[in-house]
Amino acid sequence: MKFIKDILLFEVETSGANPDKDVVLQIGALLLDKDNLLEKGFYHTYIRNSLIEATLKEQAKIAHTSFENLQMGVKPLEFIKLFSSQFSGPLTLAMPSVSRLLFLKNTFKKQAVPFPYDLNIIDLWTMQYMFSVKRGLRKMPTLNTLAEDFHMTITNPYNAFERAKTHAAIFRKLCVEF
Amino acid sequence: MFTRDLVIFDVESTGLDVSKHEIIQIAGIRLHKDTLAEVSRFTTYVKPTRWEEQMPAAMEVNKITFDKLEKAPQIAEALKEFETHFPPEEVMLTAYNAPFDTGFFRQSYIQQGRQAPYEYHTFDIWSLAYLYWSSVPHKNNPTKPIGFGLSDMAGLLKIPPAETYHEALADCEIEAEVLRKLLGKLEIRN
Repeated sequence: MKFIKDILLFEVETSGANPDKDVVLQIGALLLDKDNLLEKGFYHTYIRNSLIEATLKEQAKIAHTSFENLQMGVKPLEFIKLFSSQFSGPLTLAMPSVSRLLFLKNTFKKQAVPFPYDLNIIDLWTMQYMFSVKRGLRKMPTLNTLAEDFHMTITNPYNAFERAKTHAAIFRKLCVEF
Repeated sequence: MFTRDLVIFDVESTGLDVSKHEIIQIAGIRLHKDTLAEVSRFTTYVKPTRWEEQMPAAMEVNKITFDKLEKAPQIAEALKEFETHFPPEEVMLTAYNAPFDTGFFRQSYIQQGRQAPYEYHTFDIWSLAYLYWSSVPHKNNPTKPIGFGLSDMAGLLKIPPAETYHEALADCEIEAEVLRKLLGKLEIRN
């Protein structure tokens, strides 16, 4: 399978489920080559959304990480600059569900920065669901059930970068199936 | 084949910004989970509350004028009707380029002070179309499009063109046909 553009696969850890109200606390991203899906680059960071210690402590608890990790994270605007300078040019975004796109878009919007990426995205869940259908779906696929199917181990399910890497490994396998 | 019936849904809006613009038409077609035959359909216009915020370019695309919306239900009622026609516990939402439609749909619920009662994931036909097209060898596909829309994909799959695109129910019909053809091409359909 050869894609038209390189694929930027990302996963986020957030402070809640509402993309309007909640924020991205951690992002992990991998740039995959359009011809062979090999990794061409990566980026991961925690994002420091607040200066208030109590808020950071609460967010650290939600993200299953330490207060220090969040405190040392980059500010949202700094994240946007780093992320969009590392991943520029023609790309197709890929993510585990469309809600992740809304979170990423809102991070840009809250900093009044135009979103630079194409909104036609690869929804990985759709692909995972179709794979499960082909195999006689018994239950809704999740990252854990798929990782188990492919004999992969997720050591820290709360780490967005690790989840992104697992999604990328599953994506490569599913591309062979389609 | 699928775990639930699918509801192909589509919205037309007054613009592209979910926090500023509003849904002005919503439509859905329910497809049987095993056969993908149509089970039921629903469409309604929706009366906007901030018509003055409309984006002229968007209105040029959907060609919806205010006289069509004046007597239409407001969004809260339209969503209730949508749920009555497509009970959330029975169906899976499906869209072509899901971020756009899902974004507006879920935002409309949030503005009513509640979460959308549907399954968290939306099945995205665009993703499937892109995967299929990427699996076609380049030499047989010299006109491989970049960022293709619904009408492009319908054309590539040799689906007769709709009389009009960007009419929510007509788009649902084409999306359903695109999905049926894609599943056949990917040898997934029973």
